[in-house]
Amino acid sequence: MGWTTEQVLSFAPDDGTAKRGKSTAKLNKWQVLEKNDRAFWGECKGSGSRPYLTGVDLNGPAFKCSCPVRKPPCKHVIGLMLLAVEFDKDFAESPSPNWMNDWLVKRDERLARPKAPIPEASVLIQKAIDGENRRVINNLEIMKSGLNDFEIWLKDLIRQGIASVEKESYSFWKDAAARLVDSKARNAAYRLESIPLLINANPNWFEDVLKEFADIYLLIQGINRIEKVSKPTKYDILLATGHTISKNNLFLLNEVTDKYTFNDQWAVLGKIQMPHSVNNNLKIQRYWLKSTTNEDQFALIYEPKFVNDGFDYNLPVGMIIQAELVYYPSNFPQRAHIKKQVPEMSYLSEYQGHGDLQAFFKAISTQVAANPWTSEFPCLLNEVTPMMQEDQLFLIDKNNETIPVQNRDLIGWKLLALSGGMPIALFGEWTGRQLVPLSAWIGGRFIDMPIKNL
Amino acid sequence: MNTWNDIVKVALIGSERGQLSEGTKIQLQKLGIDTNSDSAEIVLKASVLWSKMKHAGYQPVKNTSVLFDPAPKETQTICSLKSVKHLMQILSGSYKDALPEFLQLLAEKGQRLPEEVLPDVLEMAKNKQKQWDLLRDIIGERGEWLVSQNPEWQYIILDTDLQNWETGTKQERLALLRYWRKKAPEQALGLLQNTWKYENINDKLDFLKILQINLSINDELFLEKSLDAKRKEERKLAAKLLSKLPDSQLILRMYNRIAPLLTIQNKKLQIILPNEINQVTQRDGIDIQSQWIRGGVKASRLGQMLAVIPPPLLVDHFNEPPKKILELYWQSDWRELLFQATLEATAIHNNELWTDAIFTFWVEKAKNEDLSDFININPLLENISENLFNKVAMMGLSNTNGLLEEGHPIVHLLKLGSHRWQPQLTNLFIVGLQGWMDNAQSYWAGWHYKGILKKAAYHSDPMFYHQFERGWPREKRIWGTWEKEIEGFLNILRFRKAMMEA
Repeated sequence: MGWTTEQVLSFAPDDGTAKRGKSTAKLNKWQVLEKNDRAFWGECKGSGSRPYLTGVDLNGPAFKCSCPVRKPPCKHVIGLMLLAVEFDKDFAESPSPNWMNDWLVKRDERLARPKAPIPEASVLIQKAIDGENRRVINNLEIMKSGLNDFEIWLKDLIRQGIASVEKESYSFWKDAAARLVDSKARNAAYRLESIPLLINANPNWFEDVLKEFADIYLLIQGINRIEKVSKPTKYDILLATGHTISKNNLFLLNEVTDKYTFNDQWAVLGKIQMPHSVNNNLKIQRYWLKSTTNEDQFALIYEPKFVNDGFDYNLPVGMIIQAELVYYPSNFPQRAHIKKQVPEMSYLSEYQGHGDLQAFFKAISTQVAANPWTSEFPCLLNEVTPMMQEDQLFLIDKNNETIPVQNRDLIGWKLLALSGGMPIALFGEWTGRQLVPLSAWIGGRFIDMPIKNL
Repeated sequence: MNTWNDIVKVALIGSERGQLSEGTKIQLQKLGIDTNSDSAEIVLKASVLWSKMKHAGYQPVKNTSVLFDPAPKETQTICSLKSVKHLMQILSGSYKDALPEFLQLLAEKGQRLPEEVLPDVLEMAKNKQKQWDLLRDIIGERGEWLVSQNPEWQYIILDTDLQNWETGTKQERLALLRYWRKKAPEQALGLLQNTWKYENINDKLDFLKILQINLSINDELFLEKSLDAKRKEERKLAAKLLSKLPDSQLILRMYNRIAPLLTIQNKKLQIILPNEINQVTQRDGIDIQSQWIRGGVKASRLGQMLAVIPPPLLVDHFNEPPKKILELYWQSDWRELLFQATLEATAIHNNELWTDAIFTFWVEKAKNEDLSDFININPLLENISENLFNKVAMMGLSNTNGLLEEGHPIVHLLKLGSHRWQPQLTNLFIVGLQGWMDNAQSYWAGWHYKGILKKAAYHSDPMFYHQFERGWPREKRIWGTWEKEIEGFLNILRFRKAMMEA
């Protein structure tokens, strides 16, 4: 099978299933454990009189379980897969039993069946386009009016000076942010609400606050000039301000032009799960993908969810997946959704990153120039050597130039331990100040360094 | 002042109060910003432009520090992939109590830890001195290279060169002293004697603690001098160490003090509480103010004296065997004081015969009375030998029908978790629990056994797993309330078995 424990756990739809899966991965809970070249399966003791029939089709992978959970893979599947990793030799070689065989045959038939055309697709597409155009017009009107009011508020504040906000209560920001939310400028509101967190956070906090104000001001300027910019730039501004396009609408809009659709093999390089920075009701998941054929093409699969909901995407970090991605319209396409994913996947075998820091920063300047409203910058570097100095982690490139790297949970020491002082390849997010490491390629091994703060 | 700083300054104090410098204005004009417009607008536009330019034009910094040479090649073989998986499970918290055993197994095989776990293991072991010797053998060249760069992990470095005694850092000196105290105790004592008068009190106390390793009568003279030290902490620690030497002058002096106070008359123990405590007695570590045990200051002084007397001296003194002496204690009005003091003395002198006697006595008395209410058995538990642990525990379990009460000394003993359980002991414990589960009337009893199960899991021999796995009443209703703990017990054993076989 060749999976690792971490990869198996990454299939779990949420942490709870992963945890329950681990507790199901006990040999004594399983009455039957069998496998063949195509699949493996087992019978797991449950609370009922009959065991749950659980199977995994390696041609995928695809999962089956007779338990009532309708969010695959369930804990039984995760448990079974973990057992297959840990106790492969305990799985007896066997032809598929009937229940497994029926499922595999159906799957084969389904995969071989030509896709039926979507009835009245063109109607759906036209409806989506019309709806989107209408929403853009409506939103823009509300945004313009709200942001112009906010511009007056912001200018007053700059006249008074940032030092004057130091003692402002949280409600000062909350009230102003609420007006931005009413103006459909939700993302601008989030930026504003994050400012109290910056105040006095470091000795130069006022610089950080000014940068936030600058970013919001840039949005205001963008919205005011939106009729004069190209369509991709228009969407950069709209999306950065707070306009949203649902996944389905995104797919439908791209049926007309496949400009933003890319069918490729994608290396899944990193994963972040964290609470939303200001909205306690939300949590965020970000996956970073990189095209294996186009050196500079990254994709950010960004998913905000309510805290009690599960994330839709569950991608195996460190693997290469075959998928069709649809990007959001942009002057520098980066955020995307997965439209189709072929079940096969393979191991990552190398990192294709920038050879030195200058090359990376050149790419950053291109990205900032193309879309100054973006705030996420992927960074993939080859041949950088980690170095620790007074608990601060740095990367040094072949030109003896350095950048600071976030050193959380002993990551700096782990990178140092793995590298032994030799160059490594590293992937992470560049914040403008430091690199947040998410994975590394060291000595022919993929090292996952996910952020999981949920 | 550069342009960005100028913009930030004006933004900070407010564009009504502050003004951009002429130089900044010229810069902004060149970039297309109208500097004659509203002052706030100029600052905002300038902030946008400059913050984006700063981001887009970020320049990495030239490294000026000297890089460490790459780590040398490893000479030891890395542990197996299975072992790596086991270690990952331990580090993720699933079986974290199995770490010392894992390290021990690796050291026995002469293998090294994989690179990626070195920081976690080194960090985890920072405050666990018992693991340092083991770690030293299994971190490999990479580990040593890593340690050389992190001062917090340099506890592991062992510099054994005696020349460095006077020049090393405190951590190095402690490690050096510990090493030589184990290898050549008198040489280590010589090190201390040479520099003692120059050491500060905190170092002195830490060094004295190391003298406990291979403590012998050869240390007496040195420690006697410390009884006259200026600082009370030093005097107290020296007295404590001397009281561990059965042939020391301190013990003799203490015995001479206590002998006339404890006598047998008419088959009963007669006790005189000490009235005055002179300077010499205080010098030997008796605290005149302390309330050592319930019963007042005088009783406490007697207790402190008795608590260092080697129990064999009591046998000679009373001319009675341990069991009889304990019985005499029991009948005395001061039974709590006498029993506790002798228990502590037994622990200090690590006397097996008396440990056995005290446990046997306790097990006997525990049938009618919960002694743990007024006697603290922990000092004895901490020092009990492995053989005696198993012997006493088996004795306690075999004399019991059903489960032992929570306050029973054997329950305290089994919860210790510092000794290996012989398979017969595990078996006896399991059979007892299974028997009780088979006939249990109430499901809420026996919770204290759940804690013991966890200890048993880490200290029983996992090679007997298949034997321990059998006989659990899985079909009974009570199983539901015990399944988690018993399956946990079996899982840990299975994990440890796999760890040994990896």
